[in-house]
Amino acid sequence: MRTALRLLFLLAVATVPGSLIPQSGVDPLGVRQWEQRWPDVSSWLARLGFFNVYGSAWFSAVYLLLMVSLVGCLVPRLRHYLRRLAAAPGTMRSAEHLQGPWWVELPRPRPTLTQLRTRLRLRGAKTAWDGETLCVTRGHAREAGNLVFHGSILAVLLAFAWGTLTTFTGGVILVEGNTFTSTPSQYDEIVPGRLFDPGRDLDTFSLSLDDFDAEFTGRGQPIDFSAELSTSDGTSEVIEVNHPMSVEDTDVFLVGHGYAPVISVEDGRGKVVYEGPVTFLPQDASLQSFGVIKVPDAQPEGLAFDGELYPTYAAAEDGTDVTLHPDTLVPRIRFTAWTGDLGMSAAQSVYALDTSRMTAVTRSDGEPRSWLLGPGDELSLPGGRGQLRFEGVRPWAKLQMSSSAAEPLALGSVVVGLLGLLASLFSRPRTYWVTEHPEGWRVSTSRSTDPTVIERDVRTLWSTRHSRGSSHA
Amino acid sequence: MLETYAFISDRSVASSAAVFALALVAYAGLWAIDRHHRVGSDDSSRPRQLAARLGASLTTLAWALLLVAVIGRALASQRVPWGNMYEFALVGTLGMVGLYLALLRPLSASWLGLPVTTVALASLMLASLLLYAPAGPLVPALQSYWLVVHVAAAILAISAFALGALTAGLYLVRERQERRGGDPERTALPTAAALDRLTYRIHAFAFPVWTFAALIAGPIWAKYAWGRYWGWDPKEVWAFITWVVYAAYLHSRATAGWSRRRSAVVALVGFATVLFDFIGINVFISGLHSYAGI
Repeated sequence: MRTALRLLFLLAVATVPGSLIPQSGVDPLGVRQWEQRWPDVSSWLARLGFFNVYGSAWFSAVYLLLMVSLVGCLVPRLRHYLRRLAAAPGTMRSAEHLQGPWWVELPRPRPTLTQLRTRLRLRGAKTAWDGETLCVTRGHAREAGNLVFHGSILAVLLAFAWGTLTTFTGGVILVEGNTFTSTPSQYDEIVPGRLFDPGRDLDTFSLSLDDFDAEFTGRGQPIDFSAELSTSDGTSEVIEVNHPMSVEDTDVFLVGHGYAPVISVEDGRGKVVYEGPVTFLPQDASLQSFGVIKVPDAQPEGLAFDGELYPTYAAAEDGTDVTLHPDTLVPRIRFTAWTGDLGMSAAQSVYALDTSRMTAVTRSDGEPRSWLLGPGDELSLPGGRGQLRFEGVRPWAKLQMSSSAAEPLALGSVVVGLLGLLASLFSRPRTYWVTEHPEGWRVSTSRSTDPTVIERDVRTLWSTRHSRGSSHA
Repeated sequence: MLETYAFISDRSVASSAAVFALALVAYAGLWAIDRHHRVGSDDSSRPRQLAARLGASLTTLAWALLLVAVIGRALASQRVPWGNMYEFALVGTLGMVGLYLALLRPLSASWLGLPVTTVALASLMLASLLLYAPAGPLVPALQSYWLVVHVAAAILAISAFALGALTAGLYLVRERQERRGGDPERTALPTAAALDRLTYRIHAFAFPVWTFAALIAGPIWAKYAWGRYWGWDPKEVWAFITWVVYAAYLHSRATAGWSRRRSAVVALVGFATVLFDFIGINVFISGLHSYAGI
């Protein structure tokens, strides 16, 4: 018991760092920031598993030890419990283990001890009758509930582990009007469990985002997001935050949204080298968003643009760009342009530019040049190197897919565990002996039994107005 | 019309705090009387009865005003009144004082009045000064009936934990008094053993409610809103830590060789984790629960 207690404290302490240090599974951006700000400390933290606390060896060690201690405790207790269930309730023990006696007055006609025995047995009590004394034990639910509770903790952990191994989560950003097919390459991110083979186990379906709506208050507080999705078999369904849909065994959740400006780019030869929506990532709740357009194949040299999208644009007093509202009421994009080698031979993010081998397009005074475009506007690069046209804005929705084979088991185990916990906290084990006398029933209890329970036990059984009779020592 | 409800709510909070302050004075008087007279000998002395009744009446009045404030908030924002930290603080205080009033008669718990009204007053003042947010609609992630279930259960559990922390603290005070051999009758408090039993009972109630709120309703809602039952979000982490610490408290009460004093300290540590979960996480750490912030 003391070991288990110490391990519980250890578990509580071991859980703390994961909430203070960013976790790669929850907040990868935070981890990157730590690595940039404190490279030395971060390399040690990474080595010790502090960026992935709940998957680290030392955290696993703590809960595995707790599991071992739990099993080591449960097995003998279970054996003892079963043996006691099988055994007949004890006969009257020696006087020093007893409390009482108390006298219980009886209603007329007087019930017999046999009747008492029948009624108690109907309520799950174990009784023994030696012709003179009725021995009653009740409240086995305490130990049973306790065992169930601890057993269900084991079950939850097993379900948790099973789920981690066999399920997957994947995310994809889908622009309004586009279609997504559930194959491994189409996901922006996919996190399969070790026993989940995306090539084999993924449900194959496709989803089109027909319509996305975001509703805001006048002050810009979001009220409602909804996405209308249609599947390959032609059915369509509206999902919202808190209202996912299921396609085969995969659940589809709406977890985010943003804007994708539709851009077309012509290079120096007048050839359209890029056309389509570009996903911009929101910087914060105002949905001011940032994105890049990469055109490595433009002639005579590669082109790249970065843009800051202001959904409801306004110029602040000091001349800086701001957005007043997250809805696209006055959408404007501030573009800057780059020319040169985009460095596409190396893997890189679609949301960032590698400008190390590019030169910024500047004004005559050498400062970087920028353009503020509204829908339908275009910009021309100096020297006839190309043109960019901002056609308009389409919304995108971030969808999260997951399969959930083990989750009903985990949830069921927690519910069963809670019921066990309730039984163990609120049932009172009690043992008492009843003998019949002319004055009434004489009741003695074991030392560990709260005598008021007995009065209640017997009173509820004979709840006529006569049976309100007091007991006296 | 909605502004009127919001206005009524704000005024009721202020009035409730003022009445809690008066109740606190009455209960302070009760403590003073109990510390200077032997309990039992003049248990029913007139000043004592007056102070106890005055405290109970004023606390009931303050509770009713707070209830009006919470209902006003619900009407003003057209939703359940627990959508941000200000509202959690109001409803949590309402729950804690409600539990106290429910226990008042069966346990003759007037002695608990002083700490309860003190905490209620402090909580309302902090809520109004630091956490205040105007009544408004909910962000989409909170628009779910699980908000009603999950948050209501969490607030109920936290109210009970708060009360349990008070009795655990008083147990430590009383136990120290008894150990030092002070005059056992010259105190406002029940015996240490009675305080310990009460502390255990309050936690035996609160812990299953917390289990339901944090480990059943929370994960189900998280599944609908974020696509996974459990993701080690900072709020989830601390809800789990709280659960582990209170599990350790209940466990320690059944462990031979563990003093009741150490158990009481564990209960207080548990409440510290609750406070950190409620305030620290929302203020210092950003996570998925950040919209509940200030």
